[in-house]
Amino acid sequence: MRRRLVLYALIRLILWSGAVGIALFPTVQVTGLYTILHSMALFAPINKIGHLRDLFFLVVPASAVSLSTTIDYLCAKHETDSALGALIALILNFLVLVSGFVGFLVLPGNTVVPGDTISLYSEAIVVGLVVSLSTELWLSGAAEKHREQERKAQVADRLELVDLRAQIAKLKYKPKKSKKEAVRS
Amino acid sequence: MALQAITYAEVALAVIAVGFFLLKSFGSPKVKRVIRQISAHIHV
Repeated sequence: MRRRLVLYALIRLILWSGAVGIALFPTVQVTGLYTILHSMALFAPINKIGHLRDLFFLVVPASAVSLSTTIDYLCAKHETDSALGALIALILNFLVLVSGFVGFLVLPGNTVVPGDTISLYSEAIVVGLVVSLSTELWLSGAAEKHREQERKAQVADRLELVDLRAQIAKLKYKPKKSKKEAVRS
Repeated sequence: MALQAITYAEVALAVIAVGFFLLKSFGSPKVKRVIRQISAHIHV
């Protein structure tokens, strides 16, 4: 069960990374991958050419993926004590989505942000990404756990049914008496 | 300013979510029962 859960979480992680990576691609293409790798930083080289605003686009697909997973979890009809946590995750992801939009509006296009204020924007992006990834993994893992429990319950029900059928068949079965036994009796 | 407020709100909510998770996992049976009752009232 644990292996299956890890595999499922890994698939979710790949999907989330794909969404963020594709959103990041145009900015990296403009800045140059070599420049980013050389400076070992993401925000500073992108800010240097005035494209920090584009990084707010990373937050949007990340939070959209997490929002869909959260709503899916809340709408599924399974008894859970994590609904309160899922509700908090829903509000969190909505805030992340809003932060992406606000950040995009606040920053003017093609401007280099001064060094002391860059942390404000980078923090907003990093916090948004961390929050969306953690809620995505937590809720998709919880949903998979519930599905696994339901599968196990279904298998147990089927086994119980087979056992009941066997018992009924045993009760109905009456061995025929052979001719010798019939004569003796 | 607005962006900073949203970021702080996100961090605060994340802390609440972690606290809720810890309470659900390691809290007393009474606390767990209360959390279960609240969760049972959430329907979408």
